[in-house]
Amino acid sequence: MPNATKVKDLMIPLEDYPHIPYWFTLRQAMAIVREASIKYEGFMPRSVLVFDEKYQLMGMLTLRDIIKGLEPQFLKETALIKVDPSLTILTKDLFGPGLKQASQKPVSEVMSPIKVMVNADDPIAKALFLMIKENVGMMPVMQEKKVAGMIRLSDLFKVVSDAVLGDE
Amino acid sequence: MVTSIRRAWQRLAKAGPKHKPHLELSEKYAHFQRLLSANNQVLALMTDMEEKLSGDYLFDFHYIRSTVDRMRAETTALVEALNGMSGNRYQALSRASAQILGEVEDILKRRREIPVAPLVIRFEDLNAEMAEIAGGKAANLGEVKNRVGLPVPPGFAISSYAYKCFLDYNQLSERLTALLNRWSMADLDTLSQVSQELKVMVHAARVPPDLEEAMCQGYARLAAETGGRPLLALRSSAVGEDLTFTFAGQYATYLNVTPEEMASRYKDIAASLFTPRALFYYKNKGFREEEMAMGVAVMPMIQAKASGVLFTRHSDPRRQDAALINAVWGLGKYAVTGKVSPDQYVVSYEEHGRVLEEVIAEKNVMLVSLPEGGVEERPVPPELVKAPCLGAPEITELLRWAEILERHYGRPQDVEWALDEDGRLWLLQSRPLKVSVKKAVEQKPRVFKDYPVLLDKGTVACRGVGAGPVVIVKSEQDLKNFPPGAVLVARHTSPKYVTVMDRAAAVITDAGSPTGHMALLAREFKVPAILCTENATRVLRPGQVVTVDANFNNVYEGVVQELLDTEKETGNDLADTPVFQTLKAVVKKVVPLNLLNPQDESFAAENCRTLHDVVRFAHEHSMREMFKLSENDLEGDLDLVDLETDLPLKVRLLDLGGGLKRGFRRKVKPQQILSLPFKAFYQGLTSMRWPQAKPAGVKSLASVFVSTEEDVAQGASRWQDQSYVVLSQNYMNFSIRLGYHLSTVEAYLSDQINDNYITFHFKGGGSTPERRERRTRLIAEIISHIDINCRVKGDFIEARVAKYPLKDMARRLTLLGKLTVYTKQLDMVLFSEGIVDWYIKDFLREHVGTGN
Repeated sequence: MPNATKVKDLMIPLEDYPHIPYWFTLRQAMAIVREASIKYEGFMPRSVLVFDEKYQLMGMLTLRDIIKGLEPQFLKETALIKVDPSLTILTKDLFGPGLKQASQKPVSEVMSPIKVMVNADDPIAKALFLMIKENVGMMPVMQEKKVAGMIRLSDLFKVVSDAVLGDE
Repeated sequence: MVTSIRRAWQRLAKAGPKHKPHLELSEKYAHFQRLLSANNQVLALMTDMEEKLSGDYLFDFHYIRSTVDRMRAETTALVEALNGMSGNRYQALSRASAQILGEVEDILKRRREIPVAPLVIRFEDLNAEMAEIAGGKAANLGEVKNRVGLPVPPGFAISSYAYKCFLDYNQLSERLTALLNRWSMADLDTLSQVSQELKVMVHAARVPPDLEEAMCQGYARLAAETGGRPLLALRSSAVGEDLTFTFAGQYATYLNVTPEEMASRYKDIAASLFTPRALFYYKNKGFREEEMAMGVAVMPMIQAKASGVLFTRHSDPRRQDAALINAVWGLGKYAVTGKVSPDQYVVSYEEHGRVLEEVIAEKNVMLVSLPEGGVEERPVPPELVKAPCLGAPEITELLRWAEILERHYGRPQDVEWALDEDGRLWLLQSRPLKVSVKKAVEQKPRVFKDYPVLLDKGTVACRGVGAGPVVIVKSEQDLKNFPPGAVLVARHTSPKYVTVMDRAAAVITDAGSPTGHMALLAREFKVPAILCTENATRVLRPGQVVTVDANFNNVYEGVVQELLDTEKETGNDLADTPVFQTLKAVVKKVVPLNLLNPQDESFAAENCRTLHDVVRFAHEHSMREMFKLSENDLEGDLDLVDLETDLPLKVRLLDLGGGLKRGFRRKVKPQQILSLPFKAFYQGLTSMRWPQAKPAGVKSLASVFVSTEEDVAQGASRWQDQSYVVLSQNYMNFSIRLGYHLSTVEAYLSDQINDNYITFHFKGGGSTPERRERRTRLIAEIISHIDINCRVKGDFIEARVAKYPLKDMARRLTLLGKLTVYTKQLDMVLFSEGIVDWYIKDFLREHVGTGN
């Protein structure tokens, strides 16, 4: 039996996400992420959406992006793990003064740009296909050529697993 | 309003740079400046009048006249300026102000009419309220005799009406007027000549028969009461003698007069109204001669063994608990005129008549009455020269009088007394004790070492001392709950504090001007007030008991009883004089403030009851007029120039005068701008992070948040990114468009604290209504933190701060500049109240330095 669920049924509306203008700092973005965990108990949006001045969506900021943006040394010195498997040398560096400085860079430098989007009326199969193909965890949902919300792999996964496990 | 500004901007944008300065707008600004100047003048005049009312200064009618004249000129200029700014839209204010000025004028024109009364009135029938009828001296003798119950000799007053009859009978009025008119102030040399002519005229006049008859009857009664054929003392009892101390001792007094001489001496006393000095005074102060009237007190001569003066309060502040008595042998004239050094006794109240200090002088001569009439100087018998005039019983009795009199009059008295041959004391005169001119000057700054000084700087707005627990007032709720006897402590002054002025022990503020509205109110209610302490709200803790010494700018911890005690005894000795009463009546028409809250409907021109209302209304509305640049203001050829800046901000400038350095063409660099408020604001703008160029190659997707027709209608549309500034050296009106919001920052910054203000309006945003309102809350909280009062309606903020010194205002403008950039599209991120709180804290921590 074909699943009739459409992308728009699982879409999270844009206003449920935290937003940030692209020139804001990583530091400001982190405050938002921390606050988000308080607002959405048990349903924590792990991403912040990045917009430009015209309120156009430019990208997403995941926890991964943020940590990467803070530029810990291990990202540059991958060989280090071989001589110092627990990376004790870097622990100091990670929480040192360099951290605060790095947190001042704009989010546009570290965000993930949008690679792909899906239409609200598309079936969820298409959404799954695109996500796997582009290797993304979430993507914008378009309605009348405008971003209306986001669709996440985790929500699609629930539909798939319900079907497989026969609990539908 | 937003729509009209937008249309105006669109016109502006089309207009482009031309070469003619815009006449109307610069005219409007010139009116505004005139208004500010007039506003300050009027407030300063009010302040001065209230200071005069504090009782520590001498002043005269001339002072009131000239102050009112200046006040009229300035108020009229102020109202005209407001009408000039607004195309005559404030006709109602012109009417209100003309009405009030008319009422003030009526007070000044109020003339003294001599009331119809019996020609002669017995002391038994007199009291203090009858000063118009009998003159001050006689009326007071009646008061002491009948109401206080101290021994006053029997006697009668020849009334002021009798004086009028005397003039009428001899048709003197017209001749007096003619003579006085002939003499001009410019001609001082002829003053004594005119005075002489007037005296001759009065002497040549005849006392009307019915007056002579009345005097004789009065005397007959006296003779019957005292037995025998008493000789008389005739003392001048001029109406309004206490108008000013200029007159003290000016009028004639005759001692030991025979009944036959009575009529002639009466004329002498009447003539003493026209001494050169009195004439000069009256003419100078704009009095009319019919306002000069003389009464006379007639008493049997007391055969005085000793006489003297009793001051119920020692004038030395260190001796405030004591009365001062001086005494000479014989008649009291020598005690007053300083012909001989009198004995002096300083007598303590607290120690029940103990003599604290006694100086027995060498009294070589004395004045005595002659049996046939007249007085003569005689040598004092050798055994009495160095003997004290008074013994303990007399001293005790005089101190008892002093207590009774002070209790009755509520203020220190200056008493003349005589001790007769039988050892009885008589009171011959009692009048308010003269104040020393400007007693504040005499006092040395004082510091009480036993009490910690919490604050020692600031500006005194109302002198005095008050003590009580500190209440820090931040909101109107704090005012509602304000307990009686507390000390009001606040960041800045506000006329709204009037609601607790009857309860406050004192007022202390961090900022504010001594000529501001609240300062005037503090003086009206006599609440000691220190302003501009800078940090009172931080130093003083709620509930902490403090003593505020608003004479010397000190605030002590605890209750300094010594200070409160000394202050209590500083009464006002002038309060009953007509000149004081007139000023009081004028001040009542000028100073009270009825228009308290600009947001109230009652804040209307029609409701102006005093000049203070008028200037407050005009000042408030002048700022509103400057704030709203109407379409008309921006029509026509404008000399606009572009600001050359690295910021992603398109700014066009219009200089109203002194705002820009010379030598620019179509573009100016920021360093060419001289406008004080602009420089402060721009500094804030440039010290923040602005959006950099977008990263290349990033795709952007339109979102559902923008560009629906509805949003456009709400003012959320993205206007052409063009901001405009109208500026001058002290002024700035900056309409900033950043993305989707419009904010207007208007400011006036100068060295004149009263003129300084910042107005801030904020509206709009491209995000959801919820997030826009969160940004509104964020802005409101941040600006409240920097002490700017604001009102919020939905996503619209209206804020105002005024009357801080230049550097404080500049600091706030810089912060507003930073905030403007900080909040650019900040609504976007405000997805929860929690994040709002974080961003508020973040801004305060990074930029205000008060967050934690």
